Amino acid sequence: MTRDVVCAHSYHAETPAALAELTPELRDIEATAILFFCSAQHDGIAINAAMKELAPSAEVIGCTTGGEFTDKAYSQGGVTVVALSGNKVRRCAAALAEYDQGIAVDEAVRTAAASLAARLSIDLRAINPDTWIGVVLNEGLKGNEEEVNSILGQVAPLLSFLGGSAGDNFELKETAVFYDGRVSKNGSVFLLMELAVPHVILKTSSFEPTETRLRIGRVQGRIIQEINGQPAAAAYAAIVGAKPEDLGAMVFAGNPLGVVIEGEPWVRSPIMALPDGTLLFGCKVLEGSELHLLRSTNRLVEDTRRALDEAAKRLGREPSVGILFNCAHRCMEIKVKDLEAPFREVISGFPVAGFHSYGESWLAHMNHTLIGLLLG
Amino acid sequence: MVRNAPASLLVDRLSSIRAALLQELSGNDARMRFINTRLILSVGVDLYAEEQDPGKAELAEDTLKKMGFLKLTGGRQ
Repeated sequence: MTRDVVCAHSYHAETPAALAELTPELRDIEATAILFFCSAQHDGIAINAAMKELAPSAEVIGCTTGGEFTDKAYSQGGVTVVALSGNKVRRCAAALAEYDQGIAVDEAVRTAAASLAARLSIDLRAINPDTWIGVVLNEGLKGNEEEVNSILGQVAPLLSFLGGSAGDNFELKETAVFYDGRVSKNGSVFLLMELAVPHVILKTSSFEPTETRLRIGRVQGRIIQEINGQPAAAAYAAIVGAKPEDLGAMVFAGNPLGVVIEGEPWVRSPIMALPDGTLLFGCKVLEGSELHLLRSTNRLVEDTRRALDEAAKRLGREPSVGILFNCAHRCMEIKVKDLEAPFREVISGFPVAGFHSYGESWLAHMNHTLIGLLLG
Repeated sequence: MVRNAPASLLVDRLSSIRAALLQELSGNDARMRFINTRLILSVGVDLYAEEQDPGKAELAEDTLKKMGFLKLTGGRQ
């Protein structure tokens, strides 16, 4: 009997051994779409090729990670695969956009989107967002995610593309995305799917807005130069009650900023105080915008459980699978606070596959967030 | 140009942009909220906010046109 969903995982650090463990699991599904998430030490091209050999008519995309997980496994150094049959994904197409081939991000994303539309014979502006969904896996260190999301918003404004940025086990050296036997270390891969089942998107972070608001002054890329008219690092330190010289991972992790929409924070995380008194963020913050200081709920596990429960309720049935993009900051928090066991228990209620990401995407690029796609 | 217009005119302009967009979205409030979220996150404009900086209406209009909306509403006033 064939299956409609397979979430498989291997702890093996060697690609041949991992594939030897994974491929038998994938033999009893006629897959339409396959996504894999692997450690940066793995040979992603070989994994892509092996998946394609198992399912020649399937679209196969993947990326490197800051850690991989399923509902049954949790690793750094392994491989996670999720395969979906035609009973879940009616049809789909994938495309790779590369930003280091002499083509600007704007043009590369538009070309990839046009390729998706042509292969599926659809108009991206006319398809029903209730039945079509996109996944985007971005390279995680080059900082193109904001522009990618912006262009996706222009070519398909009513369509959701959600996903995460590739990782490299926190080494911050090189991340990659994979498609069609190719690897890109400065690009994005897109998978557009027409679903045969209902879906919901979930977004959760374990932060809540405070009453403290910060006016963002001059910005250059992801560097904020001024907050409330003052040098950014000093102003931020004063607001969170820290000495400027103490600004570091612990202070930043507990005091991110957020754009608040309908009460929900979209997290923007500071990641480094620079020598010139500016602050480097994990995503772009708009100049002139007003952000809220956020505070941790200190309930990462409980908040994740509630988000999954609420998403399942919106779905109206038991999810058949969840594809989760969990921020590497959350992965660190899980590790530091010794939450791995309860977190794994929370994501074990139905088949799940995902990875720890260097930023999450849905409508925009964000930090310290779990983004998920649940299918009925 | 609306850049130096009084706040009340800016609010009126945002209101007319909302109306035009909602019409193009066939009155679908969920899709309206979806597009508004995109606007807030990508260019910092909230079509429903009461306090807006001068130029926000223009920015909203330009961004929505890049998204393929407001094609029939004419140019800036």
